[in-house]
Amino acid sequence: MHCEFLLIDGGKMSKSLGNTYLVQDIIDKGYEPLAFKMMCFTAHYRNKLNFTWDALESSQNSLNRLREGYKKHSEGNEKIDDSIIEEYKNRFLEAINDDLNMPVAMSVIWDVVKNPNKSKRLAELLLDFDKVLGIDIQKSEGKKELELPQEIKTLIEQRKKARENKDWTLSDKIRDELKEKGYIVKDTKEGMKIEKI
Amino acid sequence: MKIYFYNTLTKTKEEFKPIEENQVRIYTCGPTVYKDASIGNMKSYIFMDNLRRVLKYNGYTLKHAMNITDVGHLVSDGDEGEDKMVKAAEEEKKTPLEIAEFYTEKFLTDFDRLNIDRPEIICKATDHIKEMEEFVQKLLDNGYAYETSTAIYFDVSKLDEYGLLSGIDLRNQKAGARVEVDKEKRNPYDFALWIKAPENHIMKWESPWGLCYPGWHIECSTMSNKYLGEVFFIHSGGIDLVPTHHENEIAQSKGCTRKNSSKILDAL
Repeated sequence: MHCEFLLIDGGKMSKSLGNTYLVQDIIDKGYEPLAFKMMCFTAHYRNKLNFTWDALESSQNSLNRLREGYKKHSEGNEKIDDSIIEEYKNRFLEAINDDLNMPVAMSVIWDVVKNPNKSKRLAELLLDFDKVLGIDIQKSEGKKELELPQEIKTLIEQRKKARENKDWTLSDKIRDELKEKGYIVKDTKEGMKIEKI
Repeated sequence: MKIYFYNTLTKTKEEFKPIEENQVRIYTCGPTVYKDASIGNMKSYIFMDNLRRVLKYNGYTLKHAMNITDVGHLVSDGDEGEDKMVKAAEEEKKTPLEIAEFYTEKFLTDFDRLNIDRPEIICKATDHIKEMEEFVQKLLDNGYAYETSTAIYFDVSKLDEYGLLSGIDLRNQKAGARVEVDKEKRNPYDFALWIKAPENHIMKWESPWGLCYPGWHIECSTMSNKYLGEVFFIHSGGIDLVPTHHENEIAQSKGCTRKNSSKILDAL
């Protein structure tokens, strides 16, 4: 079994063209490496795949939408027939067992995501399919949805106020305190961003 | 449910019938660790991950080996040019071992970033020099190899079917059609198993044929044979490996096991 080449902007990847991109370059441009994995699923492994940064952007968007879709199902309580679950399962299995036909497998996943009946059973099904994809489908999208303990939330609020009052000493002190508790604060154009270390 | 995979050798999709009922033995050609792996390389390992996960999803357990090439892969992919490891070591003013460790680490970091499921066995070429030497000796004993003043070569004319995987037709190959470096080669497609090291070469090992270093292809036949046995089921890698590396691997494994046309052909 052999995997076909990756093209860059429709041509070959080469040192002289300066387009020998690394996974690190994907991270540096603000994308997740897993967005690249999503992109690989858009073509069969025996076909060439064309990489462009625009295509990566849309793969990142797809990944985000997929995770949102998973979340909506995980919060839903509607009933789903066993037969529907079975049908999705069979179609998915048929696709992956047909020489790893990931583009078809992905279309089944989108059908599940787009099912208007939001149900935990469909969320479980997506989680099961993610065993094959490995794209962390249960990961909540973006840093804004990070679950923060109350103590941390209070500190962040205090820091926001300190910054509004231009009390940089207090702001920095709270930042260091947050760091000690395992959270990194970044001040960006869109506001404060919190990351867990 | 039945599984179908494309077989590079027969150029058809075939039903997957593993040799053992529940276990699949796989060999994947891993990286030559002399520089950063690009996303193009990673496409191939995302495919490998996909294969692993699909087999596991179907309930199989895996015995999967992947090599790390840290010696013997020459700049040309053939028998000419410098060893890629040695060249990188000179350029970065490090030892080949340091280069190998540095880039292996980075390579496996990318695996984690892409959620690539690691093969059960990850094996380095330089840890298997002795076994490779024994493999070469066996090929000599079996009459599939010969010694010249510069190397031990595999004699492709001893096989009925060299070239099946990539579709090379030996009858239409004239001597000298490719650039010939070693005039002592018997056939243009003969390839080096074991190379006699020039005096200033850094990576070299004592062997019955003097100070030598292994050719690129011998490591994969040696390690797949050691970890997976003579006959395993799936061999995977990037498409660029078909014409030279995998063709030569098949030749070596056939020559060693004397199974000229049997089970090994099913293994691709």
